Amino acid sequence: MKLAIELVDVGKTFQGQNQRDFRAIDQLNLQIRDGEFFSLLGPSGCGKTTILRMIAGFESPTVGEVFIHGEAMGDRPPFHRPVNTVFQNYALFPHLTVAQNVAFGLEMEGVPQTHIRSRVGDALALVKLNGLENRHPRQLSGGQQQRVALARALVKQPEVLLFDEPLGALDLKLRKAMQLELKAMQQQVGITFVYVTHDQEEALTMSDRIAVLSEGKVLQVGTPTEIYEEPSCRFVADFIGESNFLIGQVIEQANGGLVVLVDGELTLSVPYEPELPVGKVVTLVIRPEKVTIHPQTHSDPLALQGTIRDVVYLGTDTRFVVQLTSKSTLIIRRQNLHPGKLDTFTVGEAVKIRVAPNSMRVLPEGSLGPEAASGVLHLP
Amino acid sequence: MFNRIQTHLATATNRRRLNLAVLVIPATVWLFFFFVLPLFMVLLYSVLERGTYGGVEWQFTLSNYERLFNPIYWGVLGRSLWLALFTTVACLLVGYPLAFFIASRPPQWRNTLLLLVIIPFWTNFLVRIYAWIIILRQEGVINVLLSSLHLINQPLDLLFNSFAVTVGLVYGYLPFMILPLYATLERFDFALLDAAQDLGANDLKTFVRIVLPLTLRGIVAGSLLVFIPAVGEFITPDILGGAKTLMMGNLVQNQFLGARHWPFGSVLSIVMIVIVLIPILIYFRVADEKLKAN
Ligand SMILES: Nc1ncnc2c1ncn2[C@@H]1O[C@H](COP(=O)(O)OP(=O)(O)OP(=O)(O)O)[C@@H](O)[C@H]1O
Ligand SMILES: [Mg+2]
Repeated sequence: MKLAIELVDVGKTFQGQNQRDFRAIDQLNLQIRDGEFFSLLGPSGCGKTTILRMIAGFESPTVGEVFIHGEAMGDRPPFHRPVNTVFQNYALFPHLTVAQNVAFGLEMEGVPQTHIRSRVGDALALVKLNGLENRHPRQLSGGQQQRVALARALVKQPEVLLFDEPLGALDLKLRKAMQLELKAMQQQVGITFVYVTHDQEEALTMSDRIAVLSEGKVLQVGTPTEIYEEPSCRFVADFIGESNFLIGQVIEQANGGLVVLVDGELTLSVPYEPELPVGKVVTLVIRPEKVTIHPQTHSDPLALQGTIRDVVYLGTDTRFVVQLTSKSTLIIRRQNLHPGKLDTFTVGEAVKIRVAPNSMRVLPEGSLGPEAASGVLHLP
Repeated sequence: MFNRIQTHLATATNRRRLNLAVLVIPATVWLFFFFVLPLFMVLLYSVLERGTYGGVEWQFTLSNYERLFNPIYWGVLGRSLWLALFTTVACLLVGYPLAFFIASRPPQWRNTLLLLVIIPFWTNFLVRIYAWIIILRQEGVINVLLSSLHLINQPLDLLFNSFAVTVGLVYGYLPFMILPLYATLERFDFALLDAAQDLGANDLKTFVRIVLPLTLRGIVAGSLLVFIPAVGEFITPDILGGAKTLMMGNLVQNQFLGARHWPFGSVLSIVMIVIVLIPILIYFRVADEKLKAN
């Protein structure tokens, strides 16, 4: 597999005020494949922009090395790197027209004027901006400015295109449309996209692979499905989508699986993860849409007993909060597929819930907390 | 109903018009008495005969203008223009990097740095210009320092020449260059520098293609603010230039106060006004074309 970008043991420390250094990026290793749509996803301040700026050459790593197509970049300035950036606030040149903005990069390359004209035309056609060539950026809507920024970078035919939250300033509807359009465009032109966002839904929609970051570290790299279905830690599970977390302790290993005691009062069997020893404290991750809720009359030997605490109608689905143990509640989402025919539940009602065993994820982390310790087995 | 609304709107706009009129009254009165009227008087005096002890005789003549053909005045005029131009360019070369530096500091630093630029204004202009005599004269700070370092054998002639006047002018007018430059640079979006570099422009091209055009307004404003008063300066050349470095301002001052030739003083004033108007007109012409182009 050919690599477009590789970061090897990259670290970045900013000299802060009062001589206090701030380590923004720590021992980062990333491999971005040629032609893939790769997202850097993480909360604000986790270092996404810093990583992108190190790839583009606006910052140089304090330690480690950035490789682009196998070539070490060292201190090479931005204008000598085969990457282009679409900036968060577009950074369009206000004194130049749309066409001049797009032509700027080609003029810097010394492309002959006749070629420039046709390539600018092509780029503007690609982003559907024909007819606006002679406008100035301030005469464009946010979405149109976004397209100019995209055309300005695309026209250079870079090997890698970097995006720093390019859709952040657009309204929801336009953002959704642009997400699909960007994805389609990436498949059409076939160049590597490195896409920074803090919007997990955006990352899931567009990416081939996602790196989830927190505090300057990579927590997990994987396809959207892997990230969503098999989060590697509680942070990832919490950041991507909605999750229920149940803290428990392994009390038995049986048939290649585990039995976990939750809050000292509820046993759940997990038919996998045989490596975890008895006594180990684990976190069970349960996605709200993977739990079903049934009336008390439901007869399923594996169903659990619960009490409805809250019901919220959300249009596409309904959100239930169910008391599962004395300490833990479970959030359950049910799609409103046939509203008239669905069972209705009221607050306070006793219900049965069913968690599909293979939809539970077991994370070998978590602590029981001092108050929980009493009802739990203490094993060596 | 509709009519009532219309009437209401109409009175509202009338009221607004009235308010606007009230707003410009003080400025109009001021400008009339202290700008239009004096300007008219200068124009009038320039075509009258001189009075014996100052003032004018009410007799039409164009002889005051004929005096302009005397090459002596051309020399003074040329020197004024040259010194003012040189001052403007020097202020720009010193002021631009400084304004850029200040504008690219973190916000909490900028006001302090700007304050340092403005602090000299707290001291009287005359005092500051006299201070230069102490620095530049033969037994002044610079000469003493250089000779004590054995870099020179006899003191340099730094005072009472064009050099001293230029130093004084640049020193005096630098803040007028820095402040408008800073105002435009402060609004400059430094992300554009990243964008230009990202698109393949090196530092020089980034400056020429992006920074310069976007800060042109500040450059022009600063240059006008330095050039215009510098052409008409008379205090600095009077104090630092000695008798040799007359500028237009000195000439005008001379005609009114020394020679008591008010009409010719008026003619010289008019010449200066015309000279100063030329760059301003060019500026507006360029700005106009820019507007039309957009
Ligand atoms: N030039 C700098 N000097 C000092 N600290 C910096 C600098 N640039 C970034 N940082 C710090 O490094 C951390 C990471 O910043 P970065 O801009 O990469 O975050 P981000 O993930 O892009 O956040 P956001 O989603 O808000 O844009 C932040 O804590 C930030 O304060
Ligand atoms: Mg950022």
